[in-house]
Amino acid sequence: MEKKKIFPVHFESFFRWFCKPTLFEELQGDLEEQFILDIKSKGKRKAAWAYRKEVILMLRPSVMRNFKLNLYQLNSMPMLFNYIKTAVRNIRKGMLFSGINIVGLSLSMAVGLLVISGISYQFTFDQFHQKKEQIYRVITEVNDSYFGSRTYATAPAILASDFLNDQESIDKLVRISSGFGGKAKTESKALLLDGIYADKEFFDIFSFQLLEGDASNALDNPFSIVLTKEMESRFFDQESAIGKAIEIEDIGFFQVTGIVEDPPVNSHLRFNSLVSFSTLEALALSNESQNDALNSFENLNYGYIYLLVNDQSSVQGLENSLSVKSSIVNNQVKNKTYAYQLQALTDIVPGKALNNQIGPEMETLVLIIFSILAGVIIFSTCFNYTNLSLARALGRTKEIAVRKALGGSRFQVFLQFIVEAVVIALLALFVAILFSEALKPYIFSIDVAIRDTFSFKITMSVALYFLLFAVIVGVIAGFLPAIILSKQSALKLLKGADQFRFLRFINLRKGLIIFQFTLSLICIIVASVLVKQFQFSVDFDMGFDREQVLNIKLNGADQQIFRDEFSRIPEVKRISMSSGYLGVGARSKYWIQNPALGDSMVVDYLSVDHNYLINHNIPLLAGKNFDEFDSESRDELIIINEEFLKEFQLGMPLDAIGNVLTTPGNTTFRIIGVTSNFNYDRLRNPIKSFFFTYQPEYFQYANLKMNSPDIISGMEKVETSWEKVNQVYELDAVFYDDRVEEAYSFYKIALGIIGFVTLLTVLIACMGLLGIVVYTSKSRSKEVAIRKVLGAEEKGLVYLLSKNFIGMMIWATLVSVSITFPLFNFLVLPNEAYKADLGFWEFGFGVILIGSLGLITIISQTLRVARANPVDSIHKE
Amino acid sequence: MKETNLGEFQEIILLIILSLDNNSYGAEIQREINTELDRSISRGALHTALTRLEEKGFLSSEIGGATKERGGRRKKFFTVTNAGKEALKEAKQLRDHLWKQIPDLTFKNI
Repeated sequence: MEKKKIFPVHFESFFRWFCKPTLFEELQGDLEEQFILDIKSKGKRKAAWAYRKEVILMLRPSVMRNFKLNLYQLNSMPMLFNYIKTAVRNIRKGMLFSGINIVGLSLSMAVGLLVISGISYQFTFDQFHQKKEQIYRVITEVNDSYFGSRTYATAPAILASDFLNDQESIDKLVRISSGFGGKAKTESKALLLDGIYADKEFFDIFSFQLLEGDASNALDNPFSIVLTKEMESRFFDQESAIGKAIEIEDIGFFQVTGIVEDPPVNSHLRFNSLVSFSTLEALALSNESQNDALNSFENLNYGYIYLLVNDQSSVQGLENSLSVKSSIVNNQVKNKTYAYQLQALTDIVPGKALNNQIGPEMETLVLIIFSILAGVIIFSTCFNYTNLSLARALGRTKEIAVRKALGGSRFQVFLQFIVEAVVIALLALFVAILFSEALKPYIFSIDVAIRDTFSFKITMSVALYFLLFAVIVGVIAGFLPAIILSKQSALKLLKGADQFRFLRFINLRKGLIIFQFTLSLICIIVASVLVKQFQFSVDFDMGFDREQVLNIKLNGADQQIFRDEFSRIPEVKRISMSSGYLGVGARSKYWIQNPALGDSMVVDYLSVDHNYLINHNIPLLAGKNFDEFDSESRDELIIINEEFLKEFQLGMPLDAIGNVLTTPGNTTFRIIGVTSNFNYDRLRNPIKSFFFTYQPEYFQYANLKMNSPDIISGMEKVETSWEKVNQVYELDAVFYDDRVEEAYSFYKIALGIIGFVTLLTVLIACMGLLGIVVYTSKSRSKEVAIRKVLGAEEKGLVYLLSKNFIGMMIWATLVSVSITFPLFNFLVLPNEAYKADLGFWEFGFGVILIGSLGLITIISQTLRVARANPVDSIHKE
Repeated sequence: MKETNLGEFQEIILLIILSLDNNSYGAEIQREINTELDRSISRGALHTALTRLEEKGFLSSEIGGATKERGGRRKKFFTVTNAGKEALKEAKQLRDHLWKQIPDLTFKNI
């Protein structure tokens, strides 16, 4: 008895099933003997696992019996056709149910299809490189006390010459730098180039096809440039570009040495031109910061290093020597540690999130989240199918009984129901493809980033995945009904006494409905919380005035000319300039030290001019503003905020004026003014120390305070003026409010996706409810008729039929609110420094919406049954 | 000649069967390999090898008695045939021959 309890009998019967009958006695005997021994030495559970493992390992040709695929033995073709025929008849017979099933399945499958095509596209990234298995990128993990640990896709360029070049396991390496770009001129044309610097090994390592030129030296000499096919035709029309000269503003003359095919969209390296890396080295001779970028281990801003290893097995050794190298580097730097790692080319997209990515990125995590989301929706519709099929099964007991009585085996009945579900899923697939095509524009419209990294193209392999997917969905949806229905014995089914056995599953079905409604309620609540938080963030009073401020990106336009030109526009009240935006999350930092205190702290700052504070209505509490004309000691004057006073213990605003602070780099700052606090960062973070400097060389934006409500005529003038000051770049002008909204676009993207998911889950849940209500009400029509004849009122009957469902809705409400309320109040929102207060309506809205939708569904159907003439239901008896 | 070639695993099995003398049936062989050689092979893998050896004529087998631990199932005992012993001997000779050809110094420091 003891043995029976723990022995994995299912595995034994599985083994018996696949094993050659002549071998079974010997092998099972051996396994069982070992099992008994194992119990003594290892314990019961481990012994059972060892047995299971042994059985699985028995799956080999020498042990397995011959599985001849004999269709007549398993299931003859005519039988299969019969199943399909029955399936089609059944679909026709219950049009409403089939309709609900097909529409529901196709809606959710459309999401599934989008996810499949989207994800499979991600996995085509960089697959076109012939040596992709051997290509690795050096990435750098940086650790310091302030930011903690973060990983950069970049590596210091000097690592290549200082270390990697000596490694034997590296066949070739290419240094790439992303900083190349600017206005490019030929004799006749001016265009913008956006490209990368690369060593000449670029073409040996990557499979970018060089159409013209010599791959071995196209990127050899300084000031060589390789254009893409597209750029060539834009610059030179039909002529060959080889040997021609291109002038790039602020850099110099380049000679075209090659034409490369346009990089495909699914390449993480994107460029419209390639420039020899030696150009960078030549430039560094005369430019100190360039020189620093090439020769410092601490500069991780531009350089990427890609390696071609000669053998994959040497990667581990290479990583080891890289970590040795990084510890040598770490001995020379202060406050930080670096760790160099290798990343396979195929792990870049999709891959983990890194700083300084050279191209588009897609986190594996995001893909997983999307798959789970789609999975939940699909399961939800599969539940619908299961639910409805179980309900309808009551009417099909006779059919099953007859099949069984005529010799149908359990497996055959099972197969019949699975086939039926698969047929429905395949029908749904076609509808789903139409749906997903219609959905694409919507998905693309959510955010630009989506267009950049997804294509949703249906290729041959994707189409195969679709078919497989539809079959799997069919099998999942049909599995439970098929198992339950094929289990019943023919005799009991015919007698009808066993019909009550189906009622056992009523709780399961109720559970499924509750689950679906819970899901849709959660989605609605999440969506409404997001809306609230987004509105809250955008409308928040950040402590500075951003109304009617138009920000124009200078893009190299001369500041003085800009001021002169734009101040002529009557609609422009005042012009200020700044190095960035406040309140959108992009920040620059400085280490600042108060000599009186000792420790230095990281402080955010912004470089602005004398008009900035006035333009943005930031009040000075003490001291004075920057002076436009006093340029002498301008560099070291700063204006701080109130929080700065507190953190650096400077006392009252007036006391702080004139205090001198230092940085570890020995720059000194003198405080000349104190402003009140304002939110310079996104609302996720609280206000901390902040200061303004006046460093015109860092100005990137002009902030135009407009005084006219007539924006359109103002904008026209702005455009005309822009053409006068900057001919290369298009006008990039954004109203401050729009920029702030953009900063919170995360909410918009999330809202777009969640809104869509919500719509789907609500639809699916309502359809499921509709089906089940129709069925239950109909199956009780005789009961209703008799009650009516005996004098029951319509109202009472509706209540009778609906109360179960209403109870279910209440359950769903309770469950979903008790999940989401703590989720938001204790988990998600506390991470935001400023959060919207969740009121009754964020939860109430969803509950009322779902409640009324559900009620309409329920009442409309029950009312129909309750109103029916009793004679119609009873006269057949 | 080809038929008499022995794989490393097959050679081990033959040797183990010989060392087990009269008690060489599947589970026992498996246990012996697992303990003697400290490697874990599955009964399925062993079965494949035994079948192969039997096909080559290096092993013969007979059905033996049942015990209670085996759920009353009978065992299959293996014995090494003369051909099997010959193949083993040949393999050993080949190795010895090769060993002799190695200069003495090679293993001095190991």
